[in-house]
Amino acid sequence: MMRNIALAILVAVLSVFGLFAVNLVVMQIGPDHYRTVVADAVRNGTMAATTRQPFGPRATSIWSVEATARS
Amino acid sequence: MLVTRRDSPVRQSISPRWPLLPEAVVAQPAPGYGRDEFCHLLARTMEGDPATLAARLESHHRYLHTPVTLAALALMVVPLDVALWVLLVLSYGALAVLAIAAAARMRSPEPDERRRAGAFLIVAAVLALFYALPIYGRTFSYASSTARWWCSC
Repeated sequence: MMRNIALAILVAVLSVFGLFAVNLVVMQIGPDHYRTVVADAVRNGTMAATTRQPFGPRATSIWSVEATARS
Repeated sequence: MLVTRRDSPVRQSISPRWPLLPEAVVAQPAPGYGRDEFCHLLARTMEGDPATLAARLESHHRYLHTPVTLAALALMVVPLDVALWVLLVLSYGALAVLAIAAAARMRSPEPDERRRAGAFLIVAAVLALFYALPIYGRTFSYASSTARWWCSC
């Protein structure tokens, strides 16, 4: 039992440090790269894309649905 | 969060940070972007709005943390539309794995196991029909968590 708890704590701690390490590497990519990605998405309409569900009341932005679900 | 200035890479790595603006400012619509306030904030950041650039950065250490990492990794190599399409395919793939695994277990000699497999098959069918996958499957937050959850079933 104690061994399993210790193992679980070890996995949790290693996971957190792993996520931090990956984030630290990713943060080396500057905001300018992601600004280019967003600008392209705005230009080709991805950023304002809407989708129509068969039983949905109206066309729905994928982003506004996410916001509704969150709130 | 990925397009905002980075005051400290270490702090940004611990928790995503974004500009803190008054709600009335963020509520203003942004043509070409979605209707969510996050989209309006993104538009202001992209336009180089002085108030947004000068705003204090706030940590947003909630469930968005891992999806931000996933988005950062994906958008390193592919544009947004391709990344969202891949997420949608992975979501349907995860659902297919769940349905196929359940269907395979339907041949089990044990009645309890067959009933359990039947329940999972029904769950897979209901999710495929009513979970709005074309919407949720194209978001970094929902698609990543639901695909992982369905595979773990």
